Amino acid sequence: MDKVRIGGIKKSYELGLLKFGGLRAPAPFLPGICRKLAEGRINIAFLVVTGRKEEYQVSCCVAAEEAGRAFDLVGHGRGPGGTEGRLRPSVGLLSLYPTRANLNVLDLSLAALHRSALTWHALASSLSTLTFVLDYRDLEAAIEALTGVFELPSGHAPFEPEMKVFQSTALKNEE
Amino acid sequence: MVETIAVYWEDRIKTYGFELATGLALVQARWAAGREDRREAPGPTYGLVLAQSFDGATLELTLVMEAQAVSDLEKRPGRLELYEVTAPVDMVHFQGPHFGDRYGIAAAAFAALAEDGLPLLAAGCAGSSIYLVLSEGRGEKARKALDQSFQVPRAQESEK
Repeated sequence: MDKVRIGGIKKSYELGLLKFGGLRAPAPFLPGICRKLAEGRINIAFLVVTGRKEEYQVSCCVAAEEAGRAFDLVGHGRGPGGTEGRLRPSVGLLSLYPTRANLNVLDLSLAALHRSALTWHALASSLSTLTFVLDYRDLEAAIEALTGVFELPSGHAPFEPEMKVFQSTALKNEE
Repeated sequence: MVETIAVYWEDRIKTYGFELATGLALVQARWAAGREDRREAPGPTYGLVLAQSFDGATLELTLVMEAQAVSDLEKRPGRLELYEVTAPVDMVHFQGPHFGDRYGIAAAAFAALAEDGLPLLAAGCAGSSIYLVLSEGRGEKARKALDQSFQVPRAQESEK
């Protein structure tokens, strides 16, 4: 089968994954944990909320070095509307672009990861990207699996992230 | 990898504007590896796809699509097994500078919806995009609620 051309694949830096299940509804749990993370100045790099019939799940990625603190800040998921959460301390994002929101790209990606017995924890699309959450140690294997079905342009940029942004409330000379 | 520190000075969080889509379908589907792959290029498109796995094996997908795409998918499902379609639903999505790199964006969005009592059906934040899926008729209310917490470009502001 011919490979399908896409524009590229990009890895994230290392993240931690917070997972919460058994929610009767996204609110009040979801606004609550997001507020606590914001108060703790922790960025949410990735978030998925799905569910049906009063059974909702939330997956949320934050920087790996902040994951333990984040999990503590949200009370391990206990609290209004919540249940016990889980923390997976070392995951990463793998983003394919552009996918043109095409189901074939999604299907090919899932098949490639499945053939390589790679487990993914969550996925979400955005404007032109399809992003998977996998164990950080599996990212290279996932790239190998995906490049088996997708053709990347010659001179593709490095898979590694080029920049990591930290958010501050003060300019450096004020600190 | 370059590490940089960013400071944001905003009264309200800036966005590039809100997009509201109505009359969509929310599709729950399973991806079955063992099923026959009968793909036909280019294939139907989605507005949003989300999934999460708790046991490492369940491949259940949440798709937001146009009604026609659902119809196409029902005719040629390939490895997707559709088991529930909720329609119509509304979807609001928006982007902003450095979303994904800064804290407080999701908190502001979900707080705005909660304050107006607007329940979510699904949501996704990846890259610099936020997608919110709501029941029919609640998309416009959500956009108005978000307007209170986020700044929209002047061009979109004048369209109101």
